[in-house]
Amino acid sequence: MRQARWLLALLAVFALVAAACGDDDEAAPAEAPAEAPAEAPAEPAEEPMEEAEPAEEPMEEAEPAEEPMEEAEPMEEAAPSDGTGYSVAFVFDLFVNDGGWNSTHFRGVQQVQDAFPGLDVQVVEEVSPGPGATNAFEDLAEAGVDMVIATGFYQPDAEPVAAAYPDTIFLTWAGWTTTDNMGHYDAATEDGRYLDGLIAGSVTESGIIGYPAGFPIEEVNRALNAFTIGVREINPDAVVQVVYINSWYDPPVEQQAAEALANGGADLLAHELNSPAVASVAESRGLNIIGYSSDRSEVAPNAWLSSFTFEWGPYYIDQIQSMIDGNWEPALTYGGLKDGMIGNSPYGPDVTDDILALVDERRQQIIDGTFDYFAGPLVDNEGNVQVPEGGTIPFEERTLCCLWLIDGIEGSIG
Amino acid sequence: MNDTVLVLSIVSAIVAGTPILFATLGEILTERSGVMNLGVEGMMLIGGVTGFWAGVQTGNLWLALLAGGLAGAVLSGIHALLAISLRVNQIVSGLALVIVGGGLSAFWGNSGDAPLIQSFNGVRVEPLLPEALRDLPAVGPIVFGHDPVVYLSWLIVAAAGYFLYRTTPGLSLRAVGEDPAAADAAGLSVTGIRYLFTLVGGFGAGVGGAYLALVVLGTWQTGLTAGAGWIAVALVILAGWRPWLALLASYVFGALRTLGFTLQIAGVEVPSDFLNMIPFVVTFLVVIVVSANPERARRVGAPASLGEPYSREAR
Repeated sequence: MRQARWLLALLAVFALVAAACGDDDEAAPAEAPAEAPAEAPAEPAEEPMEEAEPAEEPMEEAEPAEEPMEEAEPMEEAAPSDGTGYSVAFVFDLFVNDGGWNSTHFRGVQQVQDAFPGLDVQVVEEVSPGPGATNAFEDLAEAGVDMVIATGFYQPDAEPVAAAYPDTIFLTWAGWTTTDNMGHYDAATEDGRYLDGLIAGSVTESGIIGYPAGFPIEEVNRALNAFTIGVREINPDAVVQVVYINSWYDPPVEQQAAEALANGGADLLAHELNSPAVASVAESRGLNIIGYSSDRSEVAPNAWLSSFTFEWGPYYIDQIQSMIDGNWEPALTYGGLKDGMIGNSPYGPDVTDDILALVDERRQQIIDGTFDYFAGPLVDNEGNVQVPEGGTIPFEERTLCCLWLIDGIEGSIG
Repeated sequence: MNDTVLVLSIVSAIVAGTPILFATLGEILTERSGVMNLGVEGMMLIGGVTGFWAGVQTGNLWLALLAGGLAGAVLSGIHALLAISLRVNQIVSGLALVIVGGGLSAFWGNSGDAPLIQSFNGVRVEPLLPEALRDLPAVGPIVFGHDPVVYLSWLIVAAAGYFLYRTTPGLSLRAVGEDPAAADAAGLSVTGIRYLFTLVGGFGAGVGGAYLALVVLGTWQTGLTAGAGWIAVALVILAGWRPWLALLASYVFGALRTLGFTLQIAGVEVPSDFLNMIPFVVTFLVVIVVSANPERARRVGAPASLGEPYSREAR
């Protein structure tokens, strides 16, 4: 009887030890990749071009599957990692199904899951930037997550946590300073917005385009300026009326702003807001609509024209791949059309073949670097020359622009 | 003529005011029975999410509005139980409805594999009247250009006014709100009438929320009423518990919703937060003016026993 008890106790101890070892084994590979960035001395890799390759990465993975040789299976596991043993957490400020900003990132998450079937992917929703976000990052780092990808404006909240947990890589959207284990990314919305502007300019008949937007900050104004440049290239007399609603997502207010713009004579609405409310107004009022990063043709089948889209997936896959390979380096990534971070939605019925031909031509020129829509002179709507003849807003300095609205925009950022 | 800013803004105001009008009418009838239900915001939200869900499921506007109304009525049933049968403090119970309705609707809107928050409802409303009428200058769009629900709301305003002042059941309703003991002595069922009109009020708020989600915004979002329910509560007082004035007040406040942006486009900078505040400031002023003089307060129409539970034994 006594012996049996001793045996049981021993078994229990063994079980505990085994369990603890098991945990260690799992944790071990998690630490390995995180060391890499720490070792790689602060080479502030500023090349934002890195993400050009990633688009092909998932393709490569698909290839071995096509090979008829069935014995090749162990090879498959050895060659490109499927992410087993690594963990990544994506942090969202709202729900991933908001149909707007968060949904565009969530599409990237799904692409990541397809590319790395073995990767442990966590999705954390409803983390408002602020002290709560710092706590969330801390919890994730404490739990041993290898990479935290924060899809909103989180640099201030992530910075202290990144410093305290050097083994966890942090990526935040639209941050501005890198550290050994923290990088940032943003997409050149203006690339897509310029092309949308060409389409808008070709469609508007009243020459008044309504543009409800979120906040009068650089990013929004930059996209709005590029949009207006596109509009005026086709229709030099057209004006773009902007109203700022001081929110990114507020359907009732978005609807009111859109109604007011429609009442003011706009026959086309474009917007930098996340809900379907503006598209809904356009459809019910018989106007046209240019979307913001999401296809709204379902809400507005007749009104729909086009929208640029965010393509975050390839960038995320690239970052995770380099983490797994152990050669991740912190970078400030700014991706546009040529990097594949900006795409476009399907076009609506009112978009003519003529304008599409021009849009395709311009897109290729922007990718090739032979056309610059920000080429000077650029004059703001108060008559000040912001970019002189022969000048431009260089791609790498774009995030500093713009606290001015270009000629052709009715409205002010004051 | 018909596409000037003024005409278009009036049309927008009527559309934006219609959800508030339904909720205000419902609350007027509830308060006329002596029950104060501050839970309009919560009932609009639950009506909105239910109506939107029904719209997605059926694509039928009328079924969706009915579903929204019923959901609002169910929620108001909780208030009726607490406030009428259990004689709980009506303000506390009403506020609880706001929280419950907000929470339930947020939960429902975000749950499931295809959450309502990203769904698209197939409900489309068309103008009711022929194009010849709608093309008349000014009155065409303003009077004849609306969808059937707007005309229904006008019918309900007329019916509610007639009911309250010209029919015996309407007199009974007012009697219960003014002096439940006398009404009780006259053989009226105070509890029954109060229950009925609390449910009617919930139905109105639910229809308003459903119309807001389905037609005005065409989308569901957590907390999408954004204070419309509170505006309705304020407008009941502003309208002096009269249906006709509720119609007018709802449209005025519907106009305020877009006025800020219309001014901004015209180059006049008025902070929209300031405009959003106006309904409540005006209500404050009206309440102050009204309650400064008890005689005037009685004449304006506040039911004398508003907010007071009735208990036969307590007499």
